Amino acid sequence: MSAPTPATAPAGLTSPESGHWRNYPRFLWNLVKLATDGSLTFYAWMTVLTAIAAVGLHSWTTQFTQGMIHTHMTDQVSWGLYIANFTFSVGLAAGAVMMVIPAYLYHDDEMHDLTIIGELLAVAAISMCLMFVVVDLGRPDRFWHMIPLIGRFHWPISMLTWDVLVLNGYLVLNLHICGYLLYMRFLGRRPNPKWYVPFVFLSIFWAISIHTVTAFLYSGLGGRPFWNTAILAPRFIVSAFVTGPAFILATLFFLRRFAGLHIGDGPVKTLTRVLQVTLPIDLFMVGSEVFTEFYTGGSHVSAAQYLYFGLHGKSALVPWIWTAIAFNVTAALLLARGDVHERPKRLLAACSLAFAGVWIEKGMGLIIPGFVPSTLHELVEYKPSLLEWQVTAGVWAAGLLVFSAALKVGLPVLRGQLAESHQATKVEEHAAVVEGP
Amino acid sequence: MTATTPALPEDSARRGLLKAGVALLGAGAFARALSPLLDAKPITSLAGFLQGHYKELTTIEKKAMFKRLEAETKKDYGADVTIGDWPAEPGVQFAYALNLSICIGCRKCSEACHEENNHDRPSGNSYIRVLEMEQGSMDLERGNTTYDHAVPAPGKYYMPVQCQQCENAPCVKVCPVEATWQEQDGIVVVDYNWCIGCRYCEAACPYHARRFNWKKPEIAAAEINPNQGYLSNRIRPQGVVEKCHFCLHRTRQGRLPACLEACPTGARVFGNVLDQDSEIRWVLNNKRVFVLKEELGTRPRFFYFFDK
Amino acid sequence: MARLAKHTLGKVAAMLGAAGAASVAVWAVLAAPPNTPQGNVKSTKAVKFSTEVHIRADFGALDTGKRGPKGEPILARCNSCHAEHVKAPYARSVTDLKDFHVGKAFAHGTVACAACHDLQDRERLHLADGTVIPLAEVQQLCGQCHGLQARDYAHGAHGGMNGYWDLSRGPRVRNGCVDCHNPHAPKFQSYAPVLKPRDRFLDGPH
Repeated sequence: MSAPTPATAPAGLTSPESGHWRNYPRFLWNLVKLATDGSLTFYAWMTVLTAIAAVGLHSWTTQFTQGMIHTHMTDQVSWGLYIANFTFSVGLAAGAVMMVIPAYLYHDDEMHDLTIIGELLAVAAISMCLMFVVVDLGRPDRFWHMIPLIGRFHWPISMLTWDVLVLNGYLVLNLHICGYLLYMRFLGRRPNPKWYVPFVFLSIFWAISIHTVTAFLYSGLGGRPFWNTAILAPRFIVSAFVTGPAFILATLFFLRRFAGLHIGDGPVKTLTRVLQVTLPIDLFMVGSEVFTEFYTGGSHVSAAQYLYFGLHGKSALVPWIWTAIAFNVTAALLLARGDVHERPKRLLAACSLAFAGVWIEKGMGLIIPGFVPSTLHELVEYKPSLLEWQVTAGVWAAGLLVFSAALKVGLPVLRGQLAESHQATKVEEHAAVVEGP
Repeated sequence: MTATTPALPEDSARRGLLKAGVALLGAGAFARALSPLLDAKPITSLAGFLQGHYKELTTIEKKAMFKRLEAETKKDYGADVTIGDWPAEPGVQFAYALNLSICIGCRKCSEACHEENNHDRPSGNSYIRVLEMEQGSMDLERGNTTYDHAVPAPGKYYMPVQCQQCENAPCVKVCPVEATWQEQDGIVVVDYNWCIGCRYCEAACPYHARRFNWKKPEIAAAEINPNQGYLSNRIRPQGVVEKCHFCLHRTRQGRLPACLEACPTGARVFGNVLDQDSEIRWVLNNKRVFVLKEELGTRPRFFYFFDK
Repeated sequence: MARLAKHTLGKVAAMLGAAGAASVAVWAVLAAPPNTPQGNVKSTKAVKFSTEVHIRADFGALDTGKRGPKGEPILARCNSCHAEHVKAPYARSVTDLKDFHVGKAFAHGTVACAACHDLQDRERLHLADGTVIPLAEVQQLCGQCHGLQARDYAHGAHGGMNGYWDLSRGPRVRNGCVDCHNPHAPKFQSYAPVLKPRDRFLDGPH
């Protein structure tokens, strides 16, 4: 490091007592600058995402003003693509932070580098969750009814209020951890473990809680036998452990490709190991469900029957679920080789397949069949409308925008750059002060 | 590693210009994306937006609000209506029973509900769904709701299903904003002006009793039932959930529900279970009644029975 | 002929005597207004309003199949032929009846005409014990055999109605037996169902 260390920097610039009011806005401005500066590839990427998000926003505004008649949801299938993606995003958010477990619980030092990526992914995924909830509301203008104290918050009876609490709490928690680490780096000071390690531990448990509560949303409904199973929460957690590492591994691949950032092989190996275990467990749990449903038989099997084989000549979900199974099994086979972590393309393929497989399994393969057949056993099928796809793509694009910007900001931390540039500024300022009138 | 390379002044100026241009484009795209907001009528008035929960409003506030809703109905639908509010009466617990032996599946109840409760006309919405069931089977899986042959058909019986007004209502439990609750007389109501439209209650209901307003209901002025209740049959706003309310605007004034009056066979029995001499009490005491999906523990106050 | 009629009547009377006596008793007990005041629960306040049993206008008449200027059915009262001075003979069989009583359906088990109709006055009925009753009280007659239905009816659990569940606040009008059941062919008529669900994406059975 050529720049002076914080210890030698002039007092007043870094002192937390007097400096935060001045430093924090500067830090935020710095983040904005960092997030909007980049290569042409970066600009192109962000422009494409913005365009998709704008299309989604336009579609959602149409839905908001003219009604959800533009979706293909019905009174029989009253939740669709939005809530399916919401569920999946919660898993992604939870899975991202669960990756912190090896770093802190098992003192895997190399994994520490990944903490910030995991936390940033969690922030992006949680924003997606919140967006998916809002786009699914018939009356988003009444969102304030759900705000505790201002509205009427049906806590602790309604599971959805728990979800509101844990999701927002999780967002704040992760914003704090990322924000603190970045700010300390900006100030050029060593992060004080007291201010973030307890929160990291809390966020690990919180990650489990967000996905458990989300599973309880469904598994607590006696009228929906397809969801009314105790295995749902464990299944959600395990599948989160699939999507989280898979997404981070893919991110590392692209960071290496486009940002020239090389994370050590250790974390890649660790994440691959996690996938090698969780993906088969996920398949095992799905298999257990399938056995219980079909061996028992009776009228409660009809949702599973519809999902896997079709019912009364209707089979809209059959291609989906078998695609998911094919993807997950292929991914598990690709991952089965011991040296897979040394073969980036093979690993990327496995991660993409597992990611897409779980996305189907938890969405079109779980949320939708919960409604088919309906509680009166009417068989109304659901295929998302174009507008639903647009809105969904828009939310994903917005989530990726948040993630890309966050990575852009967080990357220098990984490289140790942010502090350097800041310290360079500080030195210049110091010089200005010294050489001033 | 662009960030560490010292940028030339012209370079950064050009970059600033580029950023400004992109930001402008982005803002334009954003404005274009939001354009449907301008094309449409506002989804709510300011007063509607700020309206509090039904249970938190004073009598005076409620009166003013009913006036506002009446004016809005006049403006939107061209009909003069009165919106009233009838609180649950002490000493009354409503229950409903339906005789499956004499129901013929004519769906007159469903139609009466459609008209009484100002349902959306194009979708033919109704709170009642009639299942044509196989004789000798209680399996809903073998039921059918879309029959259109003459009824009663041989080998079939008919089972109308509507809100069961459960004592342990899953829909009430799950609502995140207390927009739906059970009243003292057992009727589960919805504050249509408080519901956020998350449809969790629709997912929770085991009886397909709830309906969502996927769009603003369409109904001709001449067809509007002008006698409306705030918690019952007033025209619902877009994007909220609705359900059967045992015609509380009628029943809380002593009248029979519309579906019962429409029933040509007298399969429906309605009344106050607290009244020892009521018809409903007699049915519960003397017929072998059952409830739907009893195993779910929802404790419905809607009963079914067979004569033979 | 008289012997045959007597024989049939005797058989029916015996049948009704046995099966109907109990029903009559039940009917008599239960015919009281179902909503009698008792206790202090709100709805059992003194019954101020009555329950009126509706009876169809064409009861005791034959639809001639002809229509009046406004499309209304032209009815012929039974006694316009069957009054004592006309003395139209009793039909020997249902087929005989159909030839003349155009459009009348007969499907009421093996019940003979005279089991219900008064031999002297076609617009009067008689109970199993021979008590003659006016047409308007036909429900008593039905209840002799259809005891279960009569009991349910008496408790408001059979037959359509309109008005108030709470008789302290308003009256009620109820359908009588013959409003829905043609006494000569009492099986409930077939209906074309209304308001078929037309939810989006819901087509065909299931």
